[in-house]
Formats: sequence, structure tokens, C-alpha cells
Amino acid sequence: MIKPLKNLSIKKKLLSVLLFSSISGLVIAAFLLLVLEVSDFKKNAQNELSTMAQLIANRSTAALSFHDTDLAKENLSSLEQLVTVQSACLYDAQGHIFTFFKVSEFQGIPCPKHYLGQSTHFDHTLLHIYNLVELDNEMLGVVYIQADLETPFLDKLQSITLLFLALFMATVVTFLFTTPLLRVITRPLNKLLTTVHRITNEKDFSQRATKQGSDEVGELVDAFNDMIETVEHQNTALTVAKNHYRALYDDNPTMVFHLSANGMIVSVNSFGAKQLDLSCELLQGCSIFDFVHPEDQLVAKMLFDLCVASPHKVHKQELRKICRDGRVIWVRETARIINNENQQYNFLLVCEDVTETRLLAEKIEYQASHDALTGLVNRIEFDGVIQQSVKEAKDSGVQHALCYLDLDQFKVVNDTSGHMAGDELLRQLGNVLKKLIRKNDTLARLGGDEFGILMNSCSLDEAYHACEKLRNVIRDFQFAWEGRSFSIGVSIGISAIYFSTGNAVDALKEADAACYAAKENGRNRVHVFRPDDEELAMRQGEMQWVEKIQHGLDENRFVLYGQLIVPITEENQEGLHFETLVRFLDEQGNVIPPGAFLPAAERYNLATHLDKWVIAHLFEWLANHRACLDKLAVCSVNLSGLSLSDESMLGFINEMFELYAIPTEKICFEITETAAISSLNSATKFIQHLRDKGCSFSLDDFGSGLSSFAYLKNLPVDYLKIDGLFVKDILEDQVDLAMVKSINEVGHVMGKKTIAEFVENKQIFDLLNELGVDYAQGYGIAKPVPLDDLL
Amino acid sequence: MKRFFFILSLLFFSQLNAEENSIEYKIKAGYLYNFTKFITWPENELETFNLCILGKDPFGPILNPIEKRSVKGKPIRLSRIQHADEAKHCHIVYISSLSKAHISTLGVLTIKSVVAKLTVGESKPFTHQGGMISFFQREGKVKLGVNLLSLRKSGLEISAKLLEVAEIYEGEQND
Repeated sequence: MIKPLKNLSIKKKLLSVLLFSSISGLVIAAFLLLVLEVSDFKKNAQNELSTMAQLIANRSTAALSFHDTDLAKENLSSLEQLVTVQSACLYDAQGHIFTFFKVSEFQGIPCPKHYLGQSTHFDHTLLHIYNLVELDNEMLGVVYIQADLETPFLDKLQSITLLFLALFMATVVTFLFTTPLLRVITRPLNKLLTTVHRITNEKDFSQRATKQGSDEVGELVDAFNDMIETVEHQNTALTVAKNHYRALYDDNPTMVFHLSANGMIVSVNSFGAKQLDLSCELLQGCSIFDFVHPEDQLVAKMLFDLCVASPHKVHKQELRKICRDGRVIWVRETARIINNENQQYNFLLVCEDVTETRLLAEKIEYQASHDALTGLVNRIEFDGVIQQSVKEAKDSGVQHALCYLDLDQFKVVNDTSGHMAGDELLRQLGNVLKKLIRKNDTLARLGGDEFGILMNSCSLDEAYHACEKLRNVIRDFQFAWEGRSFSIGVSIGISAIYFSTGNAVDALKEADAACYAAKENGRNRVHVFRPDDEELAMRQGEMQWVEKIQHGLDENRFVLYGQLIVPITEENQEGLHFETLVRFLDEQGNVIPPGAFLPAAERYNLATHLDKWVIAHLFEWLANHRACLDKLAVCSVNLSGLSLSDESMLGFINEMFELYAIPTEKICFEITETAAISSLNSATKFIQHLRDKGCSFSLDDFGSGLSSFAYLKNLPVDYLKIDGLFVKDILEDQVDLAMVKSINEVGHVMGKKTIAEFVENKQIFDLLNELGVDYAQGYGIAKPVPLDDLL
Repeated sequence: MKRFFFILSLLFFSQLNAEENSIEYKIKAGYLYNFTKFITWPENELETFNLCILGKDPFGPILNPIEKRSVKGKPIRLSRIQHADEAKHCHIVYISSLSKAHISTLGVLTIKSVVAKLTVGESKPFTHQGGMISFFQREGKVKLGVNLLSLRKSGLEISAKLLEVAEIYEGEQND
């Protein structure tokens, strides 16, 4: 019975309960009413008749005692008044009928013939009453009354039915009145339900249910609102957290891909999509390989293969990606395997844009292998190319040609129109040459005005003709600069690279030697290498000096010279003052001036070694000639630019000072203006350090660099050596005079002493005296002599 | 009680059959006993309820069984007397109709009595002459006559129920 009720609405349930209780109440009431009323009716009827019987019994004692049937009959006749009574009898002590009475309508036997001990009982609607007649505890007889209760019983039933109908009507009315009251219960519940539905449909957790009262439904509403509030808080927190992670994912400045096992894009972050110039939605389902540069496809596939091979590792790879708009970007891909919800492996791919880094690296690489001025391959790279070719020649027997070009009149351009003009000339020539060589050939600038060409798979004959052509073109080339026009020539040396070529250095040496020979033969010509060219070059060429210097240092083939420096004015007289110079003594005993080997020393990083040799030997000599040391005012030593930035140099110098106990104030270091300026910071520190110890410094060849006087302010030097080029023509050239004059004045204003070089005669000396220059040095004063000769 | 009553009745009937004319006296004997129930007896010190037959005894042995009964807890004792003087302690005095001489002694009976006594006699005139209750026959049935005055004088109270079955004689003439 309960089960079908389950799915009914609460209102219907309440109605059912109400209905059930009303009906059952009604039925129980009706049943009880019937039972009680009937039993009550029976009891009353029996009581009434029993009382009557008792009364009659009492009245009949004398009649029975004295056998007076008339009296007895009269007594019984009084029952006639009772409508229910049908008949009555009086039995004597023996149980025989003494007398009887019956109503006139009654047809049957009035009473049982004998009294046999019956007692009062109901027989359907018939009521049989037996009452003993007693006197002084002695039974005299029995009164019997028979009554038919059918009519009053039916009356009773009728009244009960009426009562029941009234009860039923009352119940119905109550039910009708109660039904609308059910809404008190159902309405708040329905309202709550509506709110719940609305929240669920609109997903709006800010809504609240309204409370109608403080009953259980009210508590339910409160509890529901509390719950919704918690949900709202958590929802907000979740949204914030989701947005944070979303931002972390989408705005992360790397491209993040989630890929299926075959490289299909499952998802991609916004940044990644933006980089590829597509929307996230369009990218989904595309293959990641669609965006990989064709040349990098294999690399990209290999990365995924690596991930599969060792799934617990993270793998990296750099490759190019192509965006929709055609841009090519370099990315560093980081990938690893992840398992998706179906336990299939997927890839997580993170791409970092490294295009800039890559381009920078390429640029640096380019700069390292190319000449900044002409854009051609530089010497280092060219050496590599030659090495490659030598190897190739050895392996496959192919013959290549190596050409060495030296411009003939370049120095004229440089000297007359300045470095800018020279640079421009080199640039233009570079472009001209580039057009003339074949695609597979390599053109390089080897330094200064020298170029090199490696002609790939080229015989000497072919190379010769090609070089002749080059020579003609260069000869015909007119360089215009500030209204002036220059013609230049070129000397070209050619050497062959073939299977028996020793190494790259040998090949270059041979070409260099051939070029030297071309120059010796009168310049502006092409010369193919011959072994005797090498001997020639060995004597004069720069390359030879590398070895010579190294041997010279080991075998002490260098000798120290000194050139006096004298004060110009009389009052400036002081002790001995000279500049230390170095000479190379060759095997034939010839003294070779530094102009021959110093450029080679500078170029091949031997200058510092040479400087150290000079310092060590000078200090040793000074220590061995104490008399000279006592006389000595200042002795200057040249330092190359490389030494200024050499880390070991300062330590070496300090060591030497201590070893030979040379007073620091007696040593002056000479540095060139160009060397100082090219690395101003390290030079300044170097100078400062040694000056703090007491040494002095002089700036050599000042004026030749034509750099700004401003640098002078930053260089803490004690002497300025005015470039000899200005000094030697001072008598004839007004410009040079003005230069010397102004350098001298500026130097004095800055508190520095000036030294003029190249003082070749008395007139110059006098003029310098007039100008107020402090010291003079030159052939006119004293020629360089071995140190020992200074004494 | 019922059974006892039933056996007693049988006893009466057997004796009635045995002797002629005895049915009438059997009824009268029963009535004598029944009187004791409808009359309120004053308290006295006697240990027995005395039933006396004055003069000739018309009952014979029929009445004897009455001695087995009792009234108000006192056993009935039957005594047959010849003179009124002997009736000092009698509760009920039965005067046979055969002995008219005794009627004149009614006053003696009343005055010289230790206890209040009920006088019972044969024939209607008994009550007219000062007797209290008399038996008489009508339509073959034994009937009772009651002299209320005599009863009142004797100090006995008679139940109204007994009066209902009796013919009442007021007895004004005798006053």
C-alpha cells in the first residue's frame, strides 16, 4: 500500500494520509458505535425486563404460597403495558406452569411447558427472562417473560445510521476545510524546489531561497542556502584558480602542444597558436609536422622516436618551424611522453622561440669567419678552406689553385686620402673581385691590402688566365675619391694545391712567395710559383719571420740598442736618457731593423714574447752595469698593444723589477697611441698600476693616428713623443710646424713633457728649441747604438 | 433447598393418598407453615417456635413432619393441648372446628399469653368470633379469612401479600 504512494507529490501524499485517517476513523467509529449501542440496547432491555420479572416474582410469593392463580394472573397482566412483551408465565416450585399471560396478537406457545433450570438468554431478537420466586430462601416458583425486541432494535439501528451519517458529513466537511491548509506545507517546499531548479538551470550560485518560516522547511532553506554559499565560494575559488592556470598555460611565452601518438594536435595554448598565426581551434586536428621546416622533418620525427625509446626522459631538439604567414622561426623543442586517460601514450611538446639567439649565433659565426670591411671570408676561415682543399686534393687527386693578391698602389691612396678612402677602395675592389670569380671559388681578404682566392678544381694554366683577367680588370678600375681619381695595380702569386702539397701553411707560403716574386719582377703582374721563389721570399717575406722570431727568442738572436734623447733647453740638463731599441742579428751577422720583423711579431702574437725578452735583457744589462744605472735618468722601453692587454705582463714586469733591483722611476714604458686607444680601459689600468709603482709612461708616435686630443686626457702618461713625420719637414711645411707647435702646447698644458722624434739636423733642433719642445731624439742627435756603446 | 422442598412435597402426597380427606388437611398443614413467613413475629426468649393444636387433632400424623422445620432459626415444636391454659407458650394455636367450646376461650388465649399468638381456626365464623385466620372452602379450594382487628390486638403484623389472598373481616361488631 505504501509503495504506490512513493512517487506521488507531497500534497497528494498528505491528502492520502488525511483521507486514510478520516475513513479509518469513520469505520472504527461506526463499528464501535454499532457494537456499543447494540450491547447497550440489549443490556438495557434485559435490565428493564429483569426488573419487571423481579417485581412480579416479589408480588407473586403469596399467590404461590396459597395457590391463588387469579392473583398470580393479575400480577402477570401488568406486563401488558410493555409493548415488547409477548408472553409471560409463572411456574410453581415443581416447575409446572402455575399460570400464564400472553398478548392477544401472540399466536405461538406462550412458554415452555416445564421449567428445567433455564436462565435468561437472547434468541435472536427474542429475549427470554427467567426469574426465581423466593421467600426466606425457599424457592416458590419461577417468573418467565418472553419479549420480542425486533422493532426497538430496528429503531435503534436507524438512529445509529443517522448518527453515522452525521459523523460522515462532519468528516467530509473537515476534510474539505483541511485540504486548502495543506498548502502551508507544500508551498514553501515548492518554492524551494523552484529555486533549486533555477539555480541548476542558470548555474547562478548567487541566488538564494527565501525562508517562509522557522519550521523544518525553514531549516532546510537555511541549510540549502548555506550549502549554496559554500558552492558559490568554491565555484569562485575554482574559477579564479582555473583562470590562473589558464593564464599560466595560454600566456606562457612558450608554445605548448598536447599531441596524439601520431603527432596530431590535441590542444595548443594561445601563445603557440599566435606564434603559428592560426587559431587554437583550427590547429586542433592538424599534424605538428605540417609546421616543421621540410629540412627538419627528420629531426622532428627523431625527437618523437627518442621519446618513445626512453619514455622517462625529457628530450630536446632545435629545429625550424614554418608559420602560416611564411615566417620561419627557430625553436628549441622539449618533448616527453605522457599517458592519457585511455592509457595510450601522447606527447607533451614545449617549443621555445630561439630565433633571435640562433640569428645572433649565426651573426657571430659569420663575423668570426668574415671580414667586417669587405664582407669577404677572413684569413682564419680561408685557412680552413685551404685545409679542406688540401685534404681533398690528397684524397681524390683533384688539383686546385691558390692565388695571393697584393695591391700595388694602395698605400698611396691610404696616405693621400686617408683610411676612409682606403677602406672604401677595399670594399669596392672586393665587390669587383666577387663578380669575377666562379661560384665554387673562395675569395678572402687576408689583411691590409692582400686578398686570397682559392680556385676549386682548377689547373695552374686556367688559374693563370683567370688571374690575368683579374689583373686587367683591377688595372682598368678607376677609384674616385673627393674629386681625385686613382689607378691601382695588383701583383698576383699562384701556387697549386695537389696531392703532394704538404699542408695549408705550405700552400699559402708558396703563393705568398710567388706574389713576392711578382712584386720583385716589377709589380702589376701574375707569377706562378717556382721553388726558387720560395728562397727569395724566405729572405724577405713576412711569413719567414714567425719562425725566425721564435728561434731568435730561444737563441737570443736579438740585440738591444739604445738611442739617446737629449733635453733641448740648456737648463733642462739631467742624467742619461735613452730609448731602448731591438735589432735582429741574422746568421750572416747582418743586423736587421725592427721594421722587418715587428709586423710579423704583431700579426702572429709574438710581440708580447718579444717585449718580455727586451725587458728581461734590458734589466739584466742595467743590473750588470751599475755605473751606467747611476748615471741614468730615464730609460724607455717599447711595449706593443698586445702586451697592454696581456694578463701575465704586469706580473712579469713586477718580477723583473724585483729580480734585478731596478729603481722603478728609472724606467719609462713607451706605448703607441693606436695601441692605447684600441683598448683604452685595460691600457689605462696597466698604466695606472705601473705609475703607482713609480714608472713613467710616454705616448709614442703621437699625432700619426690623428685621433682626438680628448683621449689624451684619459691617458695618464708623462711624455708625449711627437710623430717624426711631422718633425722632419717642420722647416718646410707650415702645417707640420703648426701641428708640432699645437701638440707641444697641448702637451704642456696637460702637464706632460714633449719629445720630438726624427730630429735630423741643427736647424730643426733650433726651431724645436724655439717652440719650447722639451726633448729631442733623432739621427741629428745620435744614431741608435748597441747598449754597451752608450757608455 | 429446592430438592428438600421437592422431597417434602412427595411426602405430603403419599400421605394424602393413604388417608381419606387428608388432602384438605395436607393443604392446611402447608398453609400453617406458610403463615409463619407472612407474619412478623415479635422477639421472645423461647427456644422453640411452638405450634399448638387445641382440642381434637384433625391432622393426625400429617402435621408431624412440620417439626423438622424452623421459623427464624427456631425449630418448630408441635404440641397438642386440651385447655386454653396450656397455650401460654404457643405462637400459633390451631382450634379445630369440631370443638366449638374453645371459641369462647379465645379471649383467655389472648390475655393470658406469654407470647403474641396467632389463632387459626376452621370455618368462616371463627374469624367473626374473634379468631384471626380461618380456613374455609370455596369452589373446592381452601381459602383464608382474616380478622384484621384481632390481628392488630394481638400485636402481630401480617404481610399485605397474605391479605391479598384472604378474605378480610374488619370485626367492627365485636368492638
